[in-house]
Amino acid sequence: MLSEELVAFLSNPVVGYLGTRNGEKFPEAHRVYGWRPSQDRRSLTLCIPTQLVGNMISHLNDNGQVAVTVVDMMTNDAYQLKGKASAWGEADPQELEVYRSFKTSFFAALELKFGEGINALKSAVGEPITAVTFEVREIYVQTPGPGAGKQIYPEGA
Amino acid sequence: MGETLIDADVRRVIAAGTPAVLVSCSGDGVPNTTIISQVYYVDDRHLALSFQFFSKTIRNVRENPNVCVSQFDVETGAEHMFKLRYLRSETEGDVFDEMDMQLEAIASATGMSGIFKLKAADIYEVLDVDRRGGV
Repeated sequence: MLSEELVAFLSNPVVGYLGTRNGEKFPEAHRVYGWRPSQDRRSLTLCIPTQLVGNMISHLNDNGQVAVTVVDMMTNDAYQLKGKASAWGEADPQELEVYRSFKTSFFAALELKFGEGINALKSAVGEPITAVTFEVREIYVQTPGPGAGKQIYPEGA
Repeated sequence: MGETLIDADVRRVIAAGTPAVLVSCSGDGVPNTTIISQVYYVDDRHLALSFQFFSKTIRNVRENPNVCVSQFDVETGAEHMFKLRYLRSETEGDVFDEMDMQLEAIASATGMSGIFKLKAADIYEVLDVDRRGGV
């Protein structure tokens, strides 16, 4: 389950990457632009521009194994979540809204740091969006330092 | 001599020094994602990645040498996807020394001095490079 602290962290414009793998255990990365925890905080829905999904759908059909790293590039605070995908497909209107809201806040944060030089990037990321929902089974701290790799969910694992 | 996979455009993205994500996979098929500070160009068929403290990644590549690295191109917004195969770790020599120096500069610039420490330069064979998205 996602802690309230982690839900708050995810409300920030942090960078996220989804990892999947094929039947031969060759992994692949997919950039994530937005996420929404379920009401019970046991699952997370990710928004991925369809132009970036690569082989993701065939990987999910094959095995559903996922890992997600989320990192605040300003503070270097980072977490990794692992689990199994339960649903994927074209984003519905609510998921599209999650993506659009994230994109607005993410690029606003980038613009504060890098100025108008990021304007080209805004047009490089677009719809349609593919949504992936997975059950969160494990959570790890990935903030650089001695605590990196510590498992924080399930507690006592 | 194999095909050149790392052309001038790819080298530009690597040289920009944007943090990248590395995805590995354990022998029993569980992916692992982590941010890496450094992607280092060795030659047109090889890259080196900084091994600092991500022990799960190291365990995974010993079990399964195939990994994927994605690096964001800040000029175009594209993602450059590298399919790599782990070959060996180097703890001395020119590549290690150059990466150690670069990592210290990155650590200083990001407030991570004393935390970022290069344990090894991990050498990977480049199997494929793919560009996704971007303008």
